Amino acid sequence: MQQYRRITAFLVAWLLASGTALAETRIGVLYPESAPALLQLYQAIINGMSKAGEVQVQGRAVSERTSPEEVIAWAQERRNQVTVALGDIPPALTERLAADAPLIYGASALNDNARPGVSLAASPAQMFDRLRQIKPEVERIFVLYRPQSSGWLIAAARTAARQQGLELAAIACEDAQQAGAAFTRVLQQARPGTDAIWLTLDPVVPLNQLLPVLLRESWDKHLVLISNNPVDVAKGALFALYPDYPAMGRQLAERAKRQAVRPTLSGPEASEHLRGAFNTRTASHLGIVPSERVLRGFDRTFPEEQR
Amino acid sequence: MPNFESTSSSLQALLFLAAGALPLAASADDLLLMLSGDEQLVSIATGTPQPVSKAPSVATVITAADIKATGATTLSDILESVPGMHVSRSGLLWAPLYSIRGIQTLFTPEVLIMINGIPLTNSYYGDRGRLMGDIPLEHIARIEVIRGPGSAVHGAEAVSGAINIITRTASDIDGTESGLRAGSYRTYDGWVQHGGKWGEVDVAAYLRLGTTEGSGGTVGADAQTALDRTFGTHASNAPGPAQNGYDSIDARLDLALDHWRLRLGHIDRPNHGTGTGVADALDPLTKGHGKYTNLDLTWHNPKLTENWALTAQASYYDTSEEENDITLFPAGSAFPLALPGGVGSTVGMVGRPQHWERQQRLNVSALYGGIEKHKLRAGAGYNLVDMYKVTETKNFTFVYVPGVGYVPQCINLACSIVEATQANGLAFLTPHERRSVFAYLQDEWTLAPDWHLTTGLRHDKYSDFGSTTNPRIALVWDTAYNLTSKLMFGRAFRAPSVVELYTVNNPQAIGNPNLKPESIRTTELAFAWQPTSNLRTGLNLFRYQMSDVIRFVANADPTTGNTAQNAGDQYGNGMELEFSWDASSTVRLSGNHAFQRSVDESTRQDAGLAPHHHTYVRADWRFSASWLVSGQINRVADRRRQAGDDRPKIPDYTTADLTLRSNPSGNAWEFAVSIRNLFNADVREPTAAAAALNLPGDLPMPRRNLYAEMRHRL
Repeated sequence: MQQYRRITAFLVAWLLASGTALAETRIGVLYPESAPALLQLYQAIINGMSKAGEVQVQGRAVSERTSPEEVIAWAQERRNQVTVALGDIPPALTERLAADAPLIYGASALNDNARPGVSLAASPAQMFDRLRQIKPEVERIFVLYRPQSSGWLIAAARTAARQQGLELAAIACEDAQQAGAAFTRVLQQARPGTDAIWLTLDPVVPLNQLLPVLLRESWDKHLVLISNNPVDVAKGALFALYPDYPAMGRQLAERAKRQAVRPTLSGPEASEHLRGAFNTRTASHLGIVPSERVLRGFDRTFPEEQR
Repeated sequence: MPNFESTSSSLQALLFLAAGALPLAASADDLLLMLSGDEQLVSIATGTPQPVSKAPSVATVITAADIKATGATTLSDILESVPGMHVSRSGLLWAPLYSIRGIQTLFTPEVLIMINGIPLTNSYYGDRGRLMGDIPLEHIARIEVIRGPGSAVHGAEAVSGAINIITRTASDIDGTESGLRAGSYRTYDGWVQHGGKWGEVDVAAYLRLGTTEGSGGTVGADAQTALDRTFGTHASNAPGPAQNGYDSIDARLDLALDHWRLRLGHIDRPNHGTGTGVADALDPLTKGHGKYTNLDLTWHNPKLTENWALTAQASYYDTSEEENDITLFPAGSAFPLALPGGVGSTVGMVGRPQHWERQQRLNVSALYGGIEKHKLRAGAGYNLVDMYKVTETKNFTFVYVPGVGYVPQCINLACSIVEATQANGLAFLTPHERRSVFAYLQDEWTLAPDWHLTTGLRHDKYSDFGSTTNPRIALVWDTAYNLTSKLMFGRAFRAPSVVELYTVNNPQAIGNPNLKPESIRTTELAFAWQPTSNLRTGLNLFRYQMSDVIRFVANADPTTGNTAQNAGDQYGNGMELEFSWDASSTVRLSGNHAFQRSVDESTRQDAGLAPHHHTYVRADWRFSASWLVSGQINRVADRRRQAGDDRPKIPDYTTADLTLRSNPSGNAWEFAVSIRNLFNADVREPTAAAAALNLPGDLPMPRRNLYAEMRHRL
């Protein structure tokens, strides 16, 4: 009897194990053939995807010379259940793939409400949580966005702001000119010390042109500038949260698994596994004396590595 | 407080800028790079990266990307781009002289050079060792150059500046890179470096082999030429080429696990030429061999407790500088004079001084952040410098001729080489041990929003010459969002070298055990201003006062020779202006202009040798994703002679270099070709006043030369 039970247990375990193997999602990842520095980043994301459970991940670099037929042949040969397109992949290469298996996107801002995948934009909930830790006096956050591009992010942000007891003043803009006008109004009505401006990755705000003015005005008016880009912190924003690439890879793999089961899932999700950059000079100007615990929550500090 | 006047114009600018803005999203690639948080990539976007600073300072950081773009292959090449810094040469062993802000002495021991924060100082002359040739750059992650006094943090020798070379770690290399380079003057280099993991251990390993015949350059006349004129002999090797070739072996290993890091390095320079000769007489026969080995074990915990970070380090440094018999004056020279009935002029004057040194350093430093608005840094350490072996063989000794002075004479009738020992009274130096302890404390205090005051004090106690205490104070004001102003004051010192303290039996350089350290007081006012997001500028103003400068000064009876004395005082002032402008996403222009004026107080004349004006401009153009062309122009101007040297002023010069580098995407190969001194300028570095008669034509630097390089990454 005991032996019978042991055999049964073994069979069950074996079946479960085979079931697991069978349940592995085969993910094909397309990424652009690029300079070595970029390839390392794509590789870090792909390696991160491989670390997720129950997936088989294989990457394929594509270039201008790659034909759609080659990509389709590769996908069919591998029997990919989901395709992940990282970075800027020409639509001609992905359109026909999408007909065979779900297609999701990663390693880009995903400025499109309908585009499934994981965006490089950081989770608004974590942004606001960190803001409350560092500057509890902040009551209101301004953000400019284009509804078609970042509607999904702002929807998440509204929920996060409510939970944190913050007022989110999200201003919809259709183009750079509207964004300039909107920022003008924001800066005129902003309250020193209690207002923050959040810079997302939405290209409707031409930061190349506007950032110097925003930095100066924020400095003079003691406004808190937060961002999804560490480069803005190096230039003078208070802090930024941005994706940890290997961990973002795992999140992307999880999303791919869900997409394989529910191909109709739509829209991007924000990156949840984040790194942080903090500007001590700006903090000092705003009267913020960050504790060691807060500082250690950031991976980089600017303008100088002081630790 | 809000500035309403500027606000309204700013907001108008906002509207104007937005109206003109192109609705272009950053490409996914650009975004991915920016969001990687990679220091190098961030620095591309934000300008010059800052040093891992321990105190506010005027600093320049040279990155691995700068090194590649400029085509520099040695430390001396790349340091020439630093504002306020000029790399000259000593004729003796062709050693590089790092001249900062007008302070240019015989061996420039006033500049502290470190590898990964550990000094390379050799106690013999207080410099970094003169048989090291130059330091190659392939394994360097970044170089931090701090102008101004650094003794409050780094201790001895950081008088005019400190250079910290930071080697590449496993993550910096990330894979295996191998490279080959061939260039003018029969220069060939090959290297391989690997960064990866062995189990849990991060490993960076590097091996490089190289050889060069050196640029040579014709030395028209030397000390023997002058002797030939006096004695009617014909012994000089001049006109002839400077002997500046050497072979090189460089190896490094860096192992890191958790809080521990073990580093091992070796610099080996066989067949090192003597430059213009040890006695300013060309010597094509002698070759030196410098060996420098370092080992350090570091434990660093940045999060020991919530408020404490702690670092402990033990390091060991072993050096030897050996030669074969040095021909001070060639066969046929009148020197050394023959003993009555003996052999003299036919054999030449030969000597062979050698020395070996070991250094052990222990130090601990702590950072405490538990007091609001203060950051405290404290440290202490113990150093043991043991020049454990000194040998000398020679065929001459000096005899005193009343009214004339000391002249070299054969040591025996055969004028053969004998060993100089303490017992026979001929040794020039005996083994010496130097112990020192130090402690320092620094406080960085946020006085008020935008105002920071850093005060530091370090005390060093030496077993041989006594104690010295050096303060540093810096007030930093974040004046505006794009402007930072710093006012700094510091005092620094240089320890007297063993040669300066204890040499005997050399009337040209008699040691003085009563020497005090050299010291400097420097005041600096620095501004960093970023008028637009793509233009960064800096202005540094400085003035300094050097005291007790150690020099070999003629004795009261000049015929009896020169003795080391704290005889010199020098003051100076000047400025450095620097900029970096990203003209477009593919073009960057950068450069600097430095001006200095330094006066020797004893003569009230210009301190000489160093350029009053130094201009450097560089342009990088990435004209496709795979191709980078970089050009640089370097102008060195207005170099005066030292007091008492009536040779004409040192000619100004301008050089141009051009480097083309290709790194096709998706390709493991990288190629570069670089032309140095493109327009074949006649570049001369000055000889000091003391060598005016011996080497009247100054030192010839490389003419137009080129190299080609290929690298492969796995």
